[in-house]
Formats: sequence, structure tokens, C-alpha cells
Amino acid sequence: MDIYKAAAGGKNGDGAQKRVKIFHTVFYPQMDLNLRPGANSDRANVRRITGDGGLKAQPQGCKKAGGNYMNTKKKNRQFWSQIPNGAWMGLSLVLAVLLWIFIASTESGGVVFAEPWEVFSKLVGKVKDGTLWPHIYVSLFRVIAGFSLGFVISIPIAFLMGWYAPFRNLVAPWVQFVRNIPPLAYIPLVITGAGVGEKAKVIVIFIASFLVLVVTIYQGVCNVDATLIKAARVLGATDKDIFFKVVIPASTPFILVGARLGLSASLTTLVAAELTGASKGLGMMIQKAQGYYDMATVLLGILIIGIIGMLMEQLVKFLERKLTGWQETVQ
Amino acid sequence: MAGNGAVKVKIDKVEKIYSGRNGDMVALNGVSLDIMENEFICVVGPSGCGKSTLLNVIAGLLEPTSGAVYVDGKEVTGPGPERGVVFQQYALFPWLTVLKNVQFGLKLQGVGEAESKETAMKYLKMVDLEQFADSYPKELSGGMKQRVAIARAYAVNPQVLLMDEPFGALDAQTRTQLQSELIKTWQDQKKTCFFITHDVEEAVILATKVIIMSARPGRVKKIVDIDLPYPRTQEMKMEMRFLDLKSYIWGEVYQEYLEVRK
Ligand SMILES: Nc1ncnc2c1ncn2[C@@H]1O[C@H](COP(=O)(O)OP(=O)(O)O)[C@@H](O)[C@H]1O
Ligand SMILES: [Mg+2]
Repeated sequence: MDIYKAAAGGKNGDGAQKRVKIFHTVFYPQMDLNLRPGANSDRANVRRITGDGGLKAQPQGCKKAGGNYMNTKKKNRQFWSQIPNGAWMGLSLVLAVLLWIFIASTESGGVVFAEPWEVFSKLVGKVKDGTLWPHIYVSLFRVIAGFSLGFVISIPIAFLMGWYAPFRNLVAPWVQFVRNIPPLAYIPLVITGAGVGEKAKVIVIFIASFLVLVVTIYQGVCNVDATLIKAARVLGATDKDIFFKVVIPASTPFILVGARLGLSASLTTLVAAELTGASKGLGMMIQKAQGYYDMATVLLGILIIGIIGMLMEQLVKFLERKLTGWQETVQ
Repeated sequence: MAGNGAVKVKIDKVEKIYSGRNGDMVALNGVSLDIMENEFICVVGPSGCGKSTLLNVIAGLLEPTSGAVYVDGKEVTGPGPERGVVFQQYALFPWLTVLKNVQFGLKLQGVGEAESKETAMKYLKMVDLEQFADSYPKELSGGMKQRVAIARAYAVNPQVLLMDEPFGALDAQTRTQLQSELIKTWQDQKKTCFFITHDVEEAVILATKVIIMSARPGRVKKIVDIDLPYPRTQEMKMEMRFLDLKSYIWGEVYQEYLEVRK
């Protein structure tokens, strides 16, 4: 019951804080900025970008440079800040396609990059003969099954880690160990254990998303403000009340950040998972096309995976807006 | 102005030792104090002298190393509904609306939705925030948040109200305003108050009794009766008696502060 002791200002209070920091940097060095829910989300940036056009209208990273620049060229500031977000997206897309056409037209680039229209006709062909949908469907199923399993199992594990020091001390090193192993390395083990069927793919995706989820949600459990727990206790909350009415809601932003990172991990692991001898799936489609030097199909597969990733991210962001709008946004 | 003579909270030789990696740290060294019913106690003392520790012990959030606290003669073994707490950091639940925050304690006691809502609205009216019932804490200023926290503590109708530098994070003007409101609330609905502050002026304007704590390890150094009449007003801060009390207490606290510096 570490959390209670921390809340009571007991001697574990400061120690727990420190432990969080250490754990955090060991487990997730590259995530330092990303893990503050709300602070990192594009929502915050969007608000700044579409704001009143003042200095605040810049994403934080370029505040300084932008500020200096803007002071001398006021007109430019007006011009950039008036472009709506959607237009930026469109512009970015057009630019990407132009870049793609250009690279495809060069001699060495053309070997790798099929022309956009080739990819498009591949898409039309595969949609018409009905061979594309099964790949998408099968891959989506694997991602969602593996991720859901990871989500459901990571929540209790993460809460147990936050709650019971012995459990944390035993399990944290395992998580840390497995996190650093690329999924490709343990796929042989999974195939040997689970065969080449659906089970193997789901297991690999499960492991990948579980690890990300458990680390992020554990962060959330540790970050619950001890004063809030105190406040609940003096209002008469029992342990159960504190868990359901304070710890869970307070951790929700982290759970959603975990979901976003976990989904992204699931997708990136997908191709590796489908190396385990799949007969269908986007990763498999890409693999097979490589054998025929069919770069148009490879690119098509990559594009579809990318689009699925963006859609999933938007979905989680939508949920974040719905469920965690109460958060103070860090300026 | 002290209460009717009954001891409401008895602090009996409370000692608190924090043991850490660098050895033991004595935060409270045998603190004894009787708080009468409906007294308004203000506690001042240099930072780190154990004021918050003492409050947490009274609240039942911290167990004393030795000694005990009694409320109405019953030993404190944990938090209880007869003791409310207001924290410096407001400690509102950010995911709940203002109204739901105030309802929180009532609901835990099993009061139904309609009744708890009615009670909560009554206390929101008391702090003049009924029009913000459906706002989220992030939409409120610091002063408003603290008023919600006070309403939340009042809503469960505790007999003892413990406040740990509740106005410490507010600007001077808001602080003055909330002081006036608190005095008025306390006069309307008498409660036994235990109020920590580092602002001597605040202590004198609010308190019936000021407790000066000595530098670490914390002890009660002096108890000063504040014989200013009620209703207290901000204008009193200009009066001779107020200034005398203030400079006397300030001097005592300053001595302790020098003690810490040494
Ligand atoms: N959880 C804790 N663990 C160890 N030492 C603590 C803890 N809480 C407070 N202390 C120490 O006890 C002393 C008194 O703290 P506190 O009661 O917060 O003082 P105050 O509220 O008067 O500033 C301080 O020196 C502080 O460092
Ligand atoms: Mg303090």
C-alpha cells in the first residue's frame, strides 16, 4: 500500500517520487517529453497554432526563433497564422506527392519508388479483384486483438506495480529486460511455441503493446497527486473509494497516452509478426511483393499501414478530448 | 471570544520522528496543546518547524511516533468526518465539476444525489460560487479554487476545520478578501479552527489564539491570546492593538527564524 503511505506523508513519500524518476529514465529515456499527457498532444499545439495569431500561435519548440523573426516581419506572421490547419495538411500532402513524383523520376530513385499513378492503379486493381480487403482485415484483426489483450492485461499489472512494492521490485526488471529486445528476435520462440497460425501473430503484437502500455500506465499510477488521495481520505474515502474514485480517474490521461503509444507499437510490430509465415496480411503482402520486385504493391502496403496508424491515433485523440478535457494544459 | 470552555482537541505530548536514510529527523518534540471548542487557532513558526506535520497528525493522516491526539476525548486513529481539511494546493479533483467536488464527501457518506446536491449548492452559495457549479477546477482562479475547497470541507459539516496555509498561494488582495470571508463564515457557523500560516498579520486578524512554534524540533513556544473584538474588519490592521500584537508575534517568530539560520 505504498500509495497510502505516500499520501499520509509517511517516509515512503519522497522515496516513491525518486523511484518514479529513476524508473522513468531507465524504462523510457526517449519518452521524457511525450509522457506528460495533454502537454504533448497535438491538441495543445493546434490550440496554439490556431490561436489569436500572437506569439502563442507558435508551437513551443520554435517560440524563440519565431519570435525574433516575427518582430521584424509582421506581415509574414499574419500570413502564416491565417492559414487554417486543414490547408496545412493539404499542402503537406501535395508536397509529399510532388516529392514522390520527383524521386520516382530520377534514375536511382525510380528503382525503389514506383510512380504514384502505378500505386493508385494497383490499389484500384486489388480493390476490384477483392484481394486487398482480406489483407487489411486480417492485419487489423491481429493489431486489435493483440492490442486489446495488452490493454486489458497491462492495466491490472501496472496498478499492482504501483501499489505493491514487492510486486514492482520483482516485475519491473523483467519489463525492462524484454523492452529492449526487438520483436524479430523472439519470434522464433513464439513460432515454436504457438505455431504459425493467428495465435503467434497476436502474441507478438500483444507483447509489444503490453510493454508500452504497462510502462506508461505505471507512470500514471505513480503520478497520482498524493494530496488528492489525502483530500479523499479526510472526506471519508475507503481504500476502495480511493482506487475507483481517485486513482483510476487520475490515471486516465496516462492510460490514453499508453493506448496511443501501444497502438503505434502494435502497428510497427505488425510486419515483423507477419514474417512468421502468414498467408494474408499487409506485412505479408509487402513481403511477397518484394519477391516479384513489385514496388508499387510494397508502397501501397506501406501507405495503408501509415493511414491506419493515423486513423487510430485520431481515434485515441478524440477519446482524450472526450475523457480528459478536465486537464489543465501546461503552457 | 473563546468557546464555552470544553476542550475540543487535546494534543498530548505528540512526538513525530521521520526516519530516513540520513538517520532520524525529529519533526515534533513533545507538542501539547488544548484547543477549546469553537476557538480559532492560528499556528505560526519558521518553515520546517513541523506545522504541517502537526496538522497531519490531528487529521489522522500521520501516526505520531509517541503521544496522541484526542477529539472530544476520543483518540484519533485515522481521518474522520468530524475533522475537515483544507490544503494549500486546493486539492480539488480536476476531473469533477465544482458541484461534484463539493458533493464528493457527502456521497461517500451515503447521502443521495438530490440531497447532496442541495447541500452542496448551499455551501457553494456560502462562498459565492453557485454560478460556477458546472465549471471544472481548471476554469477557476486560485482564489475561487480555494473557496470551493472550503465549501467542500464545510459541506460534510465537520466540527473541527484544519487548514494548512490555505491562502499561501494567493495574491495579497485575494488573500485579504478570503480572510474576511473566512472570519464571517466562522462567525456564522462556529467551528473549531486550526489554521496554519506564515503570515503573522493573517494570524492576528483571524485568530482567537496564536500559537508560536519553535524552530525544529517543533514545540509550542508561546501562546498569545488575541483580544481584538469581533466582528473583525480589515481596518483593524491599522489599529494600535493589532500592530502591537503583530510586532510582538513577528519578533518571536523572527527569533526562531534566526535559530534556523544558525
Ligand atoms: N515525509 C517526510 N519525511 C521526512 N521528513 C519530513 C517529511 N515531511 C516533513 N519532513 C521534515 O519534517 C520537518 C517539518 O516539516 P513540516 O511539518 O512540513 O514543516 P512546516 O509545515 O512547518 O514547514 C521538516 O524539516 C521536513 O523536512
Ligand atoms: Mg507546511
